[in-house]
Amino acid sequence: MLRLKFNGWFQCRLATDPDPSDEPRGVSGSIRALPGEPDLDRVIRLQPPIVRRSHTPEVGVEVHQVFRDDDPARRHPLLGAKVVLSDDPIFKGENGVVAEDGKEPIVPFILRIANDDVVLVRSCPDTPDFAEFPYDGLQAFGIVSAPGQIADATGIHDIQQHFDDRVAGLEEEKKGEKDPTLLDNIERRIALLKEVDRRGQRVAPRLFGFMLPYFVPLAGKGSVEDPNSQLGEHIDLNRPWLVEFWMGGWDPDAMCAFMQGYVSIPTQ
Amino acid sequence: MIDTREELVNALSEAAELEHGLLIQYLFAAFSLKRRVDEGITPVQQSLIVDWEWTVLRVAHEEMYHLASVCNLLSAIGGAPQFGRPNFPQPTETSLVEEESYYPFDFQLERFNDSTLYRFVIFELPEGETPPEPPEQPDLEGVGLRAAPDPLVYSHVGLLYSQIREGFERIPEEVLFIGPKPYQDVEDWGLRMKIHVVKDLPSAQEAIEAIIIEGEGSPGAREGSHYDRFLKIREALRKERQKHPRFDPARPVVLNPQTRRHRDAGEGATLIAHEVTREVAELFNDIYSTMLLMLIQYYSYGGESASQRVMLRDSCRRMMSAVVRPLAEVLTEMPATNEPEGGNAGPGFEIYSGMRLAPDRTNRWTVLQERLRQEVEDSRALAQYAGNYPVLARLRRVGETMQGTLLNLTTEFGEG
Repeated sequence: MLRLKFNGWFQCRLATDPDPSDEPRGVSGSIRALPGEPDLDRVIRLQPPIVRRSHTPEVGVEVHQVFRDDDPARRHPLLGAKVVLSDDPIFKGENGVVAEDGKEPIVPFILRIANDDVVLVRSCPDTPDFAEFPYDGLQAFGIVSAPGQIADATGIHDIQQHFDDRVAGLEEEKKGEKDPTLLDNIERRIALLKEVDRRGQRVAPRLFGFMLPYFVPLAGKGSVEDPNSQLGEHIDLNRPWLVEFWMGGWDPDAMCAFMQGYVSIPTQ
Repeated sequence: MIDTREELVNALSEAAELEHGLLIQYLFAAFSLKRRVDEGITPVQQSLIVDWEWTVLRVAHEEMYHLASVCNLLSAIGGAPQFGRPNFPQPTETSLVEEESYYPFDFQLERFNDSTLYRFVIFELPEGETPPEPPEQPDLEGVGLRAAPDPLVYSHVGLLYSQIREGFERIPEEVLFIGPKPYQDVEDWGLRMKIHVVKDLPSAQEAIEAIIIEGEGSPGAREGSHYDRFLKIREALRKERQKHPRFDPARPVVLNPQTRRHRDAGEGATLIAHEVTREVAELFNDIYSTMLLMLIQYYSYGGESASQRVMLRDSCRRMMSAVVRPLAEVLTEMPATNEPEGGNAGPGFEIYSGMRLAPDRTNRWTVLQERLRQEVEDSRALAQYAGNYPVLARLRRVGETMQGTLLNLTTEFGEG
């Protein structure tokens, strides 16, 4: 058994309720595309290229640890491998019609883990549970409050201070900006980061401490490319792989969140 | 003067009609706004327009909550929910007999512009407040300031609610509040706004006061009221026009677009002559009526189980966001006529016939199911035209969402 632990920031530029899920710019929900930025497209991007705003985290989900059975492997060709969800997957909640908030399935679900030479690809089963409304097999398990776990994973223990630091960076950036569109964008970002609700609570950090857990059996089509036999073992495509992970730490300015999890891959 | 149950029910029914009519006019104006820089706006104007749309949609959402609170007020005194209303337009000036005009101000589906904003300000005008300067069109003088026919006489929305409040205060509490206490909508419908539960005189007064304050603000504190928000948008529009005199924030949407003539509508409609657009507009109207039927069913407390009621409510809310709005936006990009300069269509919110609830619960579901099935089919069929009209590609998702809504309802109501 090979177990890969992965984590990192990903981006998903998606309109939120009550905007329709295919809203391209964001109007009545909490997310907006700024002038000059491309339309919102809902695609979950675990790797660049992304639409990166200044002072926001670097996106990239990678394998950080490899375990052979119970033992950590100090050297392994998949250490540092890039993790990707292929074929432009989206959170397919469709304003709650497909799934309620916090249970949005990721559709389609094709996991790709790749280094320079080694490429592992596996998709979820092609059965109605995974391929048809309401995609029960791909749904998350609901919203979980886990501020400590998210702080440990992201290294951000004080999200309000984190956003205050970003505001300070933006204020500094503003001083040197002459372009009226870019200036307007900076002001809008500062306004979003400083916004408070009727009770005086900051809005931007509101969802940072929450996560969506997923558990998906990967028993569909798959492939392994290892032309130089770097893996040193045979990956079993006849048995399901299992991927378990959480997505959380939502940053509405960056339109990014953090993900962390494991994929378990049977070997022969 | 309102001093009987019947008069109070009539006044609340008229208030429900008003709220419904107002929110549709706000939605229509919001949906007509330009969204992309290739529509002749700058990136900064694009942001400005999104801000305006956000504000107008927010006011429309609040009107939906007012409508829900009015339903609670009706329910508390033994009245039925009111979701019917006459079709647009309901003008005052062009009526053959002015005294018979339906409302004391023009009800028009008109794209976002200064005269539309002026009408919105007049709708929400606080009692005693001097109306702002009218738009620069000479033919609009005096709009919205005439009296309605007896027995209900009011010149603005807040005044109608003041009369309703007085009616509640005149009729003895122990006589008036006969509605079953559980028949009150207590949900926030996912928008973190408050629907007022009405069970006695103080709670009725509180509900009415909240509606008035949200619309007009309180004397000396208009900040954040609908009236104030529309005034601010109007001022921002004026400033932007000073900088860019040719700035037009809205698409060239025709006035009161309709698929057919309606006996209950006044003059001033624009018939949609373009065949594909008319079919899309008919689908929009059909889905809008389906949603109203679901709302009537939800607010009628006719024996549905708690989980069935939750599914009805959630399906309505989701349809507003995921179906009604995308279809409305699609229409504002479709041609209204076959002429190149004939303008764009828009959502007419037409009601083709009176909506009534079947007395049998099973029949209600059968009717609803038949409508939804047909609407799924029509969405899919019209999406086939996306090759010629790319904006219609959104109908594929509308069809999927309607199919999902049908399946969700089926889990609660059965196969039918």
